[in-house]
Amino acid sequence: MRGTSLRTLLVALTLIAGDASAAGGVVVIGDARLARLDAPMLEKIYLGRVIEVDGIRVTAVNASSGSAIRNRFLQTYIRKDDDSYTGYWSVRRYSGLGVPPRELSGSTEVIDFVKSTPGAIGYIDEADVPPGVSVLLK
Amino acid sequence: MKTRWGALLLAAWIGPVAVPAAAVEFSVSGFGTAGYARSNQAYTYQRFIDDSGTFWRDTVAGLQVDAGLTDTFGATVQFKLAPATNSDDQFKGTVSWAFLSWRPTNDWLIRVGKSRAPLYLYSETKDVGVTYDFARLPTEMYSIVSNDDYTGLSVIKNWAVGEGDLSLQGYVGRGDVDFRFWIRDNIPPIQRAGPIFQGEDVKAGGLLLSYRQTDDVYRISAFRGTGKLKNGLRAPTTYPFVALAPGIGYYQVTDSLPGPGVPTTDSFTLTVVAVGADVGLDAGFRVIGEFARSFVPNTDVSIASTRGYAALLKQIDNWTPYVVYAFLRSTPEVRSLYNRVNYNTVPGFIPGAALINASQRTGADYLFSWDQHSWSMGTSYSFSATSKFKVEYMRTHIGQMSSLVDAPSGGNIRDQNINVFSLSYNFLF
Repeated sequence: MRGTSLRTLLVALTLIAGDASAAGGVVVIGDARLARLDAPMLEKIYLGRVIEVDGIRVTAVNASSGSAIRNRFLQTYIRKDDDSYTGYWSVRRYSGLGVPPRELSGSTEVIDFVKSTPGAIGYIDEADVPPGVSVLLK
Repeated sequence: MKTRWGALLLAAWIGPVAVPAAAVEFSVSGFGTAGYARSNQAYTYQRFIDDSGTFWRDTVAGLQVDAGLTDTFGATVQFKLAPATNSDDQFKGTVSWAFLSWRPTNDWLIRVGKSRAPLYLYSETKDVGVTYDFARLPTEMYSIVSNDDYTGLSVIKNWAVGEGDLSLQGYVGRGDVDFRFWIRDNIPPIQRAGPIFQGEDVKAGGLLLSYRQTDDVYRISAFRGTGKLKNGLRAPTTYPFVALAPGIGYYQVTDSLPGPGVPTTDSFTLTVVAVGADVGLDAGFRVIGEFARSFVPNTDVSIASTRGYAALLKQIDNWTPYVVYAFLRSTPEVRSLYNRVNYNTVPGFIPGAALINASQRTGADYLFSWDQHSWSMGTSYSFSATSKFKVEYMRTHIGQMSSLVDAPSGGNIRDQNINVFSLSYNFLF
């Protein structure tokens, strides 16, 4: 009886932990040389105000507009919803101040981009982080 | 959005660039406004608005191609389709912008080519209706010059200050400006009633100091442009008064009339100092305002004026209702000259009185002079970040005169109200 109860408890705890990780867990991955990146600097990068960090030219990528992970990322790190973020970049684009970060669909594309591009920054679900990829912020 | 035809467009402009084609990222975007406006007056206001309604005043479309050539170099070309500035009968396609940009560090941005002088708070985005909530940027403010796109050099330096950025922009360049005069009276064969356009080649430069923190902006700018009339034309700097008898005389508005001669110049220098702010308040309110003072020395005939507006907006879900007060007044000297010339008449017993009196009105038609203010109330509705509908009611009061009004033949428009209803659909893609 006690063994069954303990087993049940452990399974329940695992399920709960899994659910919490999926709900909260957008992580920022990128070039390992950007390990000192903090949230304010990340915000500036995604708003186009910063293009290099510690002498490293950064290239940020976004998830597709309207995707759940993009919404979570924007709310957590940029303090804007998707519409406000799109509106912000519309003003910048038509002020001649640049274009928003490129959009990639899916964690696989983001991971491949980060692995192959010096100075890359992107974001994915925490559950999708593979070995060998640097997590810069979570 | 990468497209092959976007690459073709930009390649046609930038020519052979020693950058591998595969490394260049292109982004093509576009904007448009389909706008309708109608007034309660038979005469035309702001070139196109009268009681029959028009789509010409606010309709515009544009296409922009941005290219990331390297990590630090980029290029931008913007094409625009809008009513021509030198004709009331044409929609004209123009290249608004065509510049190379270099951003060597976070804080420096250098642009070479054709771009827009930052005269106003919404200078760069004034054609992109989605980027602001007003149905129409206040014409009292946004009418200093017909065209503020210049080919030259622009340098921007940023500093991080507190939570925001302080930015200093300097620019120099050359451009074209068209001035539109409305001739009221038909005097065959001497003149035909209707619009007359005069072009100027302009050399200009200026400075803009601005501070941005989150969505708030504060700015102060100074602009100086020297415009030389095209085609060897010269313009009067004043109209000498020719006395015929005590209390009777006329203004020599042309050398065709007897008199000491009309002093003229082939160029004018315009200086504009402007301040502006866009500030968020609590509970979703925003306050936006701009003010400009323009100076044109060494002439009584000028566009010297004081102008500005103040707006209060509130965002309520997808709605942003607003109210705006805007004003535009020529300097007292300019308004005085206009009134003296426009209302001057000689008695009928003077030989050629009819022609002299008509010449006074024509002389006044060639004077830019304004005395007006407007109240506007409207709202925008955002369907999405790229799609916005707007509707507005505006009441403009014309005081002594306004060069934004096409007065009817034989008439004067003063102490009158013009009610304008506007609606538009604005989009980006």
